[in-house]
Amino acid sequence: MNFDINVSKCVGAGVCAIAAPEIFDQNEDDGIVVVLNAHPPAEQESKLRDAAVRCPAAVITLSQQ
Amino acid sequence: MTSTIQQPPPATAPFPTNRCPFDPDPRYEGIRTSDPVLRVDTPAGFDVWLVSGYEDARTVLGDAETFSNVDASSSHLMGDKDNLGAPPPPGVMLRHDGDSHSRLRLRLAREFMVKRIARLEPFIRDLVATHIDRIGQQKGPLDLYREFALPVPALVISEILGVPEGQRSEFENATASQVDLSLPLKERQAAAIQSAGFFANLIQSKQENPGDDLLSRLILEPTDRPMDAAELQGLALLLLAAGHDTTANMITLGTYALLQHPDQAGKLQNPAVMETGVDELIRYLTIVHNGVLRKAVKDTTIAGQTIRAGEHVAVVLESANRDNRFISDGDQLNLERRSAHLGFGYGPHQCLGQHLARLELRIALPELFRRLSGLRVETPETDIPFKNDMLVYGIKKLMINWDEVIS
Repeated sequence: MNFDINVSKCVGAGVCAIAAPEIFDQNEDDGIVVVLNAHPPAEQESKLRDAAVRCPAAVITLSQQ
Repeated sequence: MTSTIQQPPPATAPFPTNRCPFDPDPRYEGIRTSDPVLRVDTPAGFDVWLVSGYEDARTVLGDAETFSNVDASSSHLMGDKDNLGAPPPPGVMLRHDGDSHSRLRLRLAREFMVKRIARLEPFIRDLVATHIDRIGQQKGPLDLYREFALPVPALVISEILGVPEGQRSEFENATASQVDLSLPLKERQAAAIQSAGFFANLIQSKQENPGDDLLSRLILEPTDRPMDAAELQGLALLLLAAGHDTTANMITLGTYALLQHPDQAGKLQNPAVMETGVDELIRYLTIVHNGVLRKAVKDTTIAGQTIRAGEHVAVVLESANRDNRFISDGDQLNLERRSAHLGFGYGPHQCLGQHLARLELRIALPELFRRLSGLRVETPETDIPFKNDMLVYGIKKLMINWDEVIS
């Protein structure tokens, strides 16, 4: 499962970084999302979904491809 | 062009405010499905649209372009309706919208990011240990709220803001007095003035002698729009108000809830469960209750109900967090559950200090239960002073007892 990020909407809440720490981190300078792995393996799909649904700014969009 | 002013319909129901003691007002269970956007009156004397379902709550809180934060989120509970629409105080980013909000938010986000907060763990562990040692030196019963739940988060915030060691007890007393309801109103107001003065002095000293702390970094950091003293003071007071009594209430109410759910308290010592267990406790208790207020700035529709520009909406987090369309068995506390709960709110204003709150609770609750063997509350539930009348739910005074203190 792939995903898109709309960085301009990110508020640096860091929810993605606790929901899916293998996929997301936060930039030290401003707390904005940093993608660690743009193509996470299938076993991380539930974490990716968790990050997407919990992101307070709805920055993460999932796609099937 | 002529415009017709459309009056919203009159309130058709009173504001539900009867929590009992962990659950939302029982009326929400029906309201969520029968009247998901219900016109109600409020304690402050103006009517609002009450939004109580999970998806609708996310829609409102997630759409900051339609729903403004300009009026304080609790105006409908204790506000003065004549103050609605007044410009937000400087630095209080919770009441700013759009760029004015995100400019401040993004300067602070890094201070509260996961990695930065994780570095506070040894400091918080030490504080928790010291305060439990101090409890052990006294004889029970004693008030957990006053002796532990209030001072620990206050000292954590003072560390983050850079309050010098020698001034921390002054800081702690002033902040505790502000929320101590056993004190007369006059004394609480005096304490509020004292802490405003305290912050004014603190900011001045940081401007003169900056250190390695949040306020100093905001002062020193190069930016195209530096914060002035009034903004810094507003921000410091906001961080204190948002990050102090909320965590204190979660510690006190959380302790009581876990004592009433011994099967769940048994999971506290399992670090894997506690990675997310604290979030379940935050969902179950949802202490930011009785609605967070937003003001529509354009006409919109929520759950089929037209909401016009200028009308207010109160989003009831404690109801949304029990919505069975979002979560099954939501009335059960299950620390092993993961959920996209709204206990920290949702949208661009979602709690800035959430990772700090999680860390404090993840340390404090297991340590209280581990070290105070035989921890109990002897007060009958009917005599426990729950904060039904307050903006943030909790317990005003929780007398705990124990058998022995384990090191």
